[in-house]
Amino acid sequence: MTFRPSPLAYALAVLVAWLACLAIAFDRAELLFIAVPLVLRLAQSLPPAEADIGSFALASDGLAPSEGDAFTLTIDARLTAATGLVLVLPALPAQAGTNYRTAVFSPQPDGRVRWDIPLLCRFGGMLDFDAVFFRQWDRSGLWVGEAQRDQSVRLAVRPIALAIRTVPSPRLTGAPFGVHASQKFGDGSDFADIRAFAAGDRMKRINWPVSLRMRQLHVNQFHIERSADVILLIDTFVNIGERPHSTLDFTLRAAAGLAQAYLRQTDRVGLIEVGSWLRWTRPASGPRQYETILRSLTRVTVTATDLRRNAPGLPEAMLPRHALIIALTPLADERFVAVVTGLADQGRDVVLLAIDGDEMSLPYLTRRAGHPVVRRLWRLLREDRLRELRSHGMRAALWSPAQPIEVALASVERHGTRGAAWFG
Amino acid sequence: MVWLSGIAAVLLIAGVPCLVLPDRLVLCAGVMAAAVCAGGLLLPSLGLATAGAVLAVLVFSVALLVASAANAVMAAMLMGIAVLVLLDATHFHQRFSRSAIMPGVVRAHIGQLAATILVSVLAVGVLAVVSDVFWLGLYAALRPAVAAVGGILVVLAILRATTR
Repeated sequence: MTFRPSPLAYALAVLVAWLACLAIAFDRAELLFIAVPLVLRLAQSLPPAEADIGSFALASDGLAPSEGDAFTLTIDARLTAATGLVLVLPALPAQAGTNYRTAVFSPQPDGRVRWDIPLLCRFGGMLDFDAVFFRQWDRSGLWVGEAQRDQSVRLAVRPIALAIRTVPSPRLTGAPFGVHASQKFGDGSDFADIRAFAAGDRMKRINWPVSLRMRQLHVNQFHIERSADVILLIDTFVNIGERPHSTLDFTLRAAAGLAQAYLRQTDRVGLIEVGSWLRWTRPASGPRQYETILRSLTRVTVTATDLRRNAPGLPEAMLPRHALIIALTPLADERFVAVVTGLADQGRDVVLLAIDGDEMSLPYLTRRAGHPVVRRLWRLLREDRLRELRSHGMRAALWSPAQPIEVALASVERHGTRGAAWFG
Repeated sequence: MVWLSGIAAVLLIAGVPCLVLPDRLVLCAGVMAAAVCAGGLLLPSLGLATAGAVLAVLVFSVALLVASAANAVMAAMLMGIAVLVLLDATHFHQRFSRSAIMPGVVRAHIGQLAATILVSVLAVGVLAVVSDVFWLGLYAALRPAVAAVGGILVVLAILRATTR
């Protein structure tokens, strides 16, 4: 740490010189007495010896925090030859909320400085801490030196999962042992049909009232209950609004909520991030998969790029034919819309949840673009767009984050009931 | 606490020229200089505070010249202390206005300032006595030259201390 004169040293020097000039010009020695405190202050401050940071540690007590959680980041350093005040400036990302981003210390006799910073995770994602800057003054404040220490501390801040009880039903089912009624008949609890008794049918399946009326044995038939494969498709081309109230934040929370709801039903859930990066998490079931998906969601970022001009191709292995694909998008990028439309045109079961970013985009709009008439026109265009998407066979609905997501999901089911005939 | 010391310094800067020349115009000029100093303290901007201090010293010098007071050492000492405290408080706030101030910081800072003021008062007293003795025996035409040599020496010392 090399010291240099601080601005106060220059200010005092200027005033002393000015007083000397005035004393000479006005021929008044009293003016030199004004300079006495200033000169004494300058005289007290000799250039300090070279100082350095002996030891340094950066640590966090938050293991796997969720957004909104508080945790403590601890900076512990020992400065050699610390005589005056020390300012500690950790490079805190905007994701970490705190009252103070810097702190000033009067070091202990052994030069130790320890700061426990109470931080709040403002939104989900990776939280990186690395550089910490130290600015040290001598006792008089006339000399200042700076040093930097680096140590990487990385926290994965999980998004908060929205509470979802009712989720869109898949049209096709996959592996056994689930809660979704399959098209096939067999062991299950959902009543499907009645047919004439055949050799091998179980006695407990006989429908006695119908058998007596028809004078022939009849048995009840049930839908087989199976699990479903669900792929969550996340649009990371565009983020509208300022975090933690942006479309990306609501997308992540909705994805976490949907994953939780489907995994609770023993379904297999996978995740595909479609944007500047194409990343995926393979479908699986169970609590461990929920942790995997949350970890994947913390890595989701929106990076503006023009390199990917066309809609990216999705990995076939990630998209089983019977999978229910749930796309979460602010519906603001044509590339993502092209991907979803392509999937629907292949006859896949696609649910599109368009996240309404109107309120979030308001601070960024010009006065003319934010005019109520323009906004109403934009809403009409979006409604038209949703109708067009539904015509491709997908179930689409608009979700305003001010409303519970289940309202939008119920709307998806209604649209799905009308469009079911197309699917056969 | 540091704020209070800064405000006291601004009040002193406004009022000290009136100790030399009790006049309405001097008071107005002192208040104007103090207003600039207060601006520097509030913003906080050390540059503005320095400009205000330069102006305040100029007002004090003019008052001293017009009043032709025999001995204004006490007033000059007060002005010097006020300027030092103002610059110190402004520098403190410029550095730490957005920082968490940990226990012991303000106490250490005020202690350091108080020690400087105490030593200044003692030094001014000693210098006043020495200069009175020396002044009587010095030829009038040589006084500006002695002041000039002293001023140049001080500036050279400061330059030597601040540049390595």
